[in-house]
Amino acid sequence: MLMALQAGASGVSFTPVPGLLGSDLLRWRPDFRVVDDPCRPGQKVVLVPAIRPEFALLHGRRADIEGNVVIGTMYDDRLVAQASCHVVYSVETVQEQGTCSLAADEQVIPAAFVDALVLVRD
Amino acid sequence: MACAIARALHDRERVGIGVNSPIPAAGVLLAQRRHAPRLRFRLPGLEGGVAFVGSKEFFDFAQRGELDVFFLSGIQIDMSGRINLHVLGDYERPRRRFPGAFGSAVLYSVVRRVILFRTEHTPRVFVPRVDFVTAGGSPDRVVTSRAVLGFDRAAGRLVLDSYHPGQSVDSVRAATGFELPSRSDVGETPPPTAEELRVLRDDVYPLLAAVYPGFVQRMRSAAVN
Repeated sequence: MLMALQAGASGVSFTPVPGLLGSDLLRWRPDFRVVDDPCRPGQKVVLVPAIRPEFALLHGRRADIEGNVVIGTMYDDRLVAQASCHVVYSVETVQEQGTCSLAADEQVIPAAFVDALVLVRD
Repeated sequence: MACAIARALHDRERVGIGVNSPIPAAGVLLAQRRHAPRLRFRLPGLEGGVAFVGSKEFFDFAQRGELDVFFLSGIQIDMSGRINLHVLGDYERPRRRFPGAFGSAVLYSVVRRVILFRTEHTPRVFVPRVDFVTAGGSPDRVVTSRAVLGFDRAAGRLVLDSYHPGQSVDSVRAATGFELPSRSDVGETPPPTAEELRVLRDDVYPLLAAVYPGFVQRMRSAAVN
């Protein structure tokens, strides 16, 4: 699923995914196709369609008035934000310049990926 | 089980620990504090692990073939080492439905050594053929509450490596839903040493309590009783 989201984020229609051969997932997902690997003769590879969610509802720590959002580094929200058509972020505070100083476990989701902010008050 | 897992790990190995895996996590930390000080691991939420940016970076790392060890489990595990994390019964009319693969169908084939673990060692878990093949491959071994099972690559099937103290070849076979041949050197799993138990109690559980407080509490009260 992460690779399918990456394909969505990269604007391509499918992605090869390693493994999966021999799994019953292939029996129940006709949209997962097994093809000859064009770059590794004699080997099979599974192709999985890209995922482009219509909406992503995500939560960040804080944002600035430009719409840049600060989040932690542990999760894959960045990929989800890149792949999704519309992104709504809830945040706890909105600052004039919220993104200039980051803690070691923080990253910025650029405003270009964010359609709307929702301020969550205590 | 944690000791059996710890002894299976080597120094310098790069080890991934998935969600809901407190026993492998205890085994990894035990190994790191005993014989494998340069082992590197990833356990989301635990200080001292490798801080990947998201799961995507971790999966890419594994897919490039750089991950030495990962731990998987299954609702069912079959004689070929295949695991089922999807459904019991028919896929379209299941008796029970479970959360799904969690990337296991990818990891099983890209990780150098996959160690399977399961606390329940009964015929309903260890079945001749899983109801749904979530993932398959060649496991390094299977660690359960009763035994350590190895994998005979030539025959493509699980075999009995060792039975834990209090078990026997016959008791493990009776708890397994398929024919389980023994390795020629089958014997008892060496019991945890006093030193292993001390490191678990004094060093590993305090660290692990941040991620698995319930597990640590159960282990501590079991040790007292």
